[in-house]
Amino acid sequence: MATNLTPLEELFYQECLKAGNNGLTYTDFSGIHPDSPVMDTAIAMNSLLGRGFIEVFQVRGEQVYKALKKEEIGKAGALQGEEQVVYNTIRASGNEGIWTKHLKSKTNLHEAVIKRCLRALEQKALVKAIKSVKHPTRKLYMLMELTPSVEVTGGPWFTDQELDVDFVEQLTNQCYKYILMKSFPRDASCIFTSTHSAYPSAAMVRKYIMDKRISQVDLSVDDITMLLDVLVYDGKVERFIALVDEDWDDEDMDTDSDWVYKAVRDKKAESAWQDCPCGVCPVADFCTEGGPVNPAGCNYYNKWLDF
Amino acid sequence: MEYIHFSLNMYQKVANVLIRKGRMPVGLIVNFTALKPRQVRECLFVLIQHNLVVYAESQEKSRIVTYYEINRTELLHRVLIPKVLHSSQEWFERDGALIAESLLTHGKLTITDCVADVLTTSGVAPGKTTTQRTQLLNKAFTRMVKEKCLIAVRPSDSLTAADKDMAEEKRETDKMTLPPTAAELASIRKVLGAQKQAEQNSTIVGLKRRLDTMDDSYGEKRPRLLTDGDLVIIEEVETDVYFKVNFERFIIRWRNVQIANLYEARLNPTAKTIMQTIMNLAEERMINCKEEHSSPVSIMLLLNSLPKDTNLIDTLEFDPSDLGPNNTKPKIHECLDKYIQILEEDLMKILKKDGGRSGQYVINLKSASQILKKNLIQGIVSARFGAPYVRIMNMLADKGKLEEKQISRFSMMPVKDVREKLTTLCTFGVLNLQEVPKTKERTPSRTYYLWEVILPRAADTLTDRLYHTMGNLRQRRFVERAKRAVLLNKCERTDVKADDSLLNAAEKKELETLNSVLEMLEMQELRIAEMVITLRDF
Repeated sequence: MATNLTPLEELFYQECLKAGNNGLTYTDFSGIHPDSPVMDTAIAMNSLLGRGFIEVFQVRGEQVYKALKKEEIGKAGALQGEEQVVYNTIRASGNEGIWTKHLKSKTNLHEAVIKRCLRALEQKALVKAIKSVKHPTRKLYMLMELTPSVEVTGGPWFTDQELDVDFVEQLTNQCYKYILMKSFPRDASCIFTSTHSAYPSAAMVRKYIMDKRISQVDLSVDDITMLLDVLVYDGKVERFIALVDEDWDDEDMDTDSDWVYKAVRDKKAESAWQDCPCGVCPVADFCTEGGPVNPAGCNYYNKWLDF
Repeated sequence: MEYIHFSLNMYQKVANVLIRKGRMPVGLIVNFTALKPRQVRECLFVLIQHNLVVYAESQEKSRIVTYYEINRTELLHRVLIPKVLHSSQEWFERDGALIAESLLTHGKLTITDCVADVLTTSGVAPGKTTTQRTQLLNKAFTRMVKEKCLIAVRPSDSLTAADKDMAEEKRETDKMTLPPTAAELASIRKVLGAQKQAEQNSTIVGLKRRLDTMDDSYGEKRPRLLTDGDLVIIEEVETDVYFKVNFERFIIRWRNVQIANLYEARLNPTAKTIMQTIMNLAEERMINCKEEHSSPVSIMLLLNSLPKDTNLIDTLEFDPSDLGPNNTKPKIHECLDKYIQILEEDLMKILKKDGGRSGQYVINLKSASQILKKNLIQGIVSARFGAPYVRIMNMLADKGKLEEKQISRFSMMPVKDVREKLTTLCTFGVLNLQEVPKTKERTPSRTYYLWEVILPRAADTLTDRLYHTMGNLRQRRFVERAKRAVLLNKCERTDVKADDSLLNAAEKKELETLNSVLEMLEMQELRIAEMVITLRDF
């Protein structure tokens, strides 16, 4: 490890490392090493903190010290004062990122100072700014080497923080086609008997989508389930629990859900009401006999009845 | 309505007053309409004949006052007349349609009057004697009565239903020494309701049974169609009973057809035929459209009643394991079992086993009507706004109350689109917004806004809108006719009626346009009326 540590510093650092994520209080340390003098330990701790080997937290009114990993030491250690505080706070937020406002309240630093620090950190390529799907206006900061979590990016359905409607649409159509193909026999006038068990599950749909390379992005079964739910709400497929069948034991599929899907044949969206102007009339609410809008002099009617 | 069907302004005035101002005695009607009392009495007489007005008598001090009231359901059903005629033609052939037409023009008739009327209007078909024709018509009439498409009218049917109920209730409460408690009153009402139901359910009024022998002895109450050697009991319509068209029965049948049609798109035509047959078998015991379940139908009966050309075997795709080694397809009754199983397991859950008895199936009419209503509303929303709106609606119907953000997540649509769609649907009347404040002071920022679909309420708002459209179509029809009043008057002239060469080319063309315009408007009105019965009556 770092050669320029005094024995006491080294000792304290090692103890912190051993304590791991829970951290180490001074009382803990003095319990293990009662012979180390208080003054010297304090100096050692200060020097460690200053060089970024350990960091300090306040837990229930007590100071808790945590050791940093070796690869992180250099970076934080190279930073000065406020920059270091900002860097540490950002690092603590993990792959969720942290909003500048929260950063301010956590560090108790002035806004201008935080801005300056962030600019400096960005220049050194230590942190990066990202945007969240949940709060598109907020600017979040996280460490350069981390990839943003699904919470922040919104999963595979989002490109540039916006829902990729076309992509979703295309995929749902493909899913529907696949399920439709599996739901009815080739002969259009036939139907399967009720013992038919080859209705696809979400896992099977996923396999189809991945095999056909319809999506460039890797989709999980949960993602596909979301798509299928949409199809259910569209009234295009129906979901039910599959028959329990002893032969149903495919190892290469994770069959944690027993839901299978069956397509409903597409019905044409038609309604007799919309065939006459009143069904689509934008001013129908004002339409009264003898009013400014009325059926007697209605222009829509004129057009409609004039074939 | 009266204006078209009775073409005299007088009737319109009387009916209008009654519709708008509620029940009233003759004196008041005279006041409001400014007609002569004799005219008003005549109008009321005609309207009662057509089952459109009902009356109630009440004792006021020393004299009895008669109040008149419009029979709204009967009146609203009149829009369906073209469809009734069409269906009669379909179910009872031409004779049925003629009988229905005659009954609808005269309000109510006895069998003899009706047949005589049909004979004079339609004439005797070539190659048939009048007696043969009369027999055929009698037969058709009897069949329509048996299938409850025609219903007997008793003098009491012209009394208002509410007054009849009240009078019966009073008779019961008068027996008591003390005024009835709420619980007693409720139990009386229940008993009376049950009585009424049983009455409707029992034998058909106006039918009598007769032994088909030479002597015309009237059979007493015996089981129907009892055959004993050569003795056949046939049912015939009593000649002194008046009949009218039973709109309710037509509506029930239309609903049944719609329910069966659901299965054609979901499964295949064979499934539809099976459902239709089950419905037909259960239909006899249906009384109105608000029942929860049909009466049970047994599989054996179903098998015997299926149309001969139903293809049960070839329309099923069997798993190879089901077929066995010989690859032989199962017998017809096994296939029917399979079909029933498919229908029972269908996610609409309309057909189900009758609890306790095996081989008996009932139809869940209530949920079937719900599905029909929901489909109709979905059709309207989808045709008017598009598929994404239907998605939101279905989701809310499925999940209950949801917030904007949740809707956006589940429907995979951006929040801003969802917000716009929700508002549109809400103004249209399909969605409801429920506010739930987090704190006492109800600030908008600290409030949940939950959206939901309440199906009955949505159906009500849409029915309102549909009525509005129907009114518009009808008004437009008047306008189109009024525009060409001169021409129409000319056409009514006897010499023009006799010789249409008296009309010049322009007039003929104009007449043609008018007819096609009227046809379009009437057609559209009927289609809207069909949607209304789905939402209102099913």
